[in-house]
Amino acid sequence: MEIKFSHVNSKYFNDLSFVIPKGKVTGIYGDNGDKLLRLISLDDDSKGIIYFNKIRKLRRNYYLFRNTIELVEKRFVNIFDIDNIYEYFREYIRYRKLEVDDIDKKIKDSLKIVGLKVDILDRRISTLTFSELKLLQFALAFLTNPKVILFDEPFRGLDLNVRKKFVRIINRLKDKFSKTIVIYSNNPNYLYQYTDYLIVLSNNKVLVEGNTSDIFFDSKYNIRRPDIVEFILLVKDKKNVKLPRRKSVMDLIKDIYWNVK
Amino acid sequence: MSSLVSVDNLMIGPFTKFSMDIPLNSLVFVTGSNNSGKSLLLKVFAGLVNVKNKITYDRKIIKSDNDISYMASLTFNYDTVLKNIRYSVERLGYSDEKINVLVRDIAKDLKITNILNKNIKDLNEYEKLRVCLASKVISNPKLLLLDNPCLFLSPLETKEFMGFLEQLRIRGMTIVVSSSLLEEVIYTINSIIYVLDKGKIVSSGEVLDVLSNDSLLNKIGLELPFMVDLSVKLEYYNLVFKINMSPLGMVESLWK
Repeated sequence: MEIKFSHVNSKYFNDLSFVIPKGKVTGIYGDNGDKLLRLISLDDDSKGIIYFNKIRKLRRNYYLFRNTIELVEKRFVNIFDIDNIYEYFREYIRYRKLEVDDIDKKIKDSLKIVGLKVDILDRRISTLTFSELKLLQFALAFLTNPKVILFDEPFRGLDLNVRKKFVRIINRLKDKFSKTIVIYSNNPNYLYQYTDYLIVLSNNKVLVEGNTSDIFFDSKYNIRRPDIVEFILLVKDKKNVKLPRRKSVMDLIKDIYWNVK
Repeated sequence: MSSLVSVDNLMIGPFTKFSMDIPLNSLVFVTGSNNSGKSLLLKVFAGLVNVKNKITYDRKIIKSDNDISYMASLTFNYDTVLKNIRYSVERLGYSDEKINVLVRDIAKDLKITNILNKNIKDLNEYEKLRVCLASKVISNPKLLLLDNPCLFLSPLETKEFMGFLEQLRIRGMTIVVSSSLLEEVIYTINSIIYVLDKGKIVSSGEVLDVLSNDSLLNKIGLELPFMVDLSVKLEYYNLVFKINMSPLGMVESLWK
């Protein structure tokens, strides 16, 4: 689903215009990016022109879009005060008014997507570790089968193995089920590695939007860059040596080796 | 160095026959992959888990539970910043003048003087963290346990926060921090780092010694900070001979 905002005003932003393209993982970078996620998920009041898939959002068709968007918060909040995970899932399905024929199958499918084992359903939420809680949050988000999924700092606290698993999941959702994925992070390293399209905010306005690596390699913008980009730009600046754009240190090392030798 | 807290022969969760000492007046990082038992270990140190006499405190220094401060999530009891910070010393029965001085000093140290009268809701993540830390350290605890404090901070904020922890250590606190990102560790000096995997210590010691073992850390799923990663990998190619944390210095040494 393509999302288009033009000249939108809200409590935190004024005259905001940007496009979230379909078929790409979009990153949001900069101050108040988490508030922008809330705005896209239609949780915050806004004035302006918003299109979802070329259909304009109006007050009367608000419900059409609200249920197709899912926001995954950075911290898990136990909204029902239920500790048992199976009960929590059931309550969540009731709360979101989902029409499900076979609840147990639906829950199991959702757990399967994120790679959690079924026996987690017998456990209590208060005994889960951070990464298990994060995966549970993702599983709950996939339960409603949303068209747009917004992630607030999804990579934080996940180690490399879990993070790779998560990236595989979102790429599959994007390619196979054509979901729109939006990720906010204040760490440029993650955005550079895992997103294709980037929206940079500065002073409550959109500074620039476009291809992620193009933006980070453009020295025009005064933003904090990923470490690896910073290094490649420094080499070009000081020694006038142009190294190719790389995402992993392993590739960069080989470039340096051939260049220095 | 004498040890302030030690666990011996711990058998809980992922831990089997686990022993560890926290030296007095040190800054200790406990890091590791997901589900390695970092948070649980901190809870054990805080005395929140019943482990049947397997934990010993130095009772000359830690006289009561008030000398241990444990922070896991950012929870607040009151709406305004000032009330939240005052609360933790008010309950100890200090006089009003003494509390005012304490609040002023800690606010100055943690750079939150200008937000003291704000509402918690209007603060950003980093401000909330500093307010929470202020309320935990104002009573001058001897042992400070922080469970993943830098989780949602940007790299610049993390760097400043580590400076605050260093200041607190100089004031005489023993600090144990759990962390899921190795990048947080390099901003400190003189800290000790323990790497856990599935309830076992797989590596420990000074920061740079631990970080230079990149194959072990990558195997358990930890990512090295960029400059360390670059230095260590360039060492294999005999292009550099020590870990260089400054990008400029690295460029100059490579392209002579």
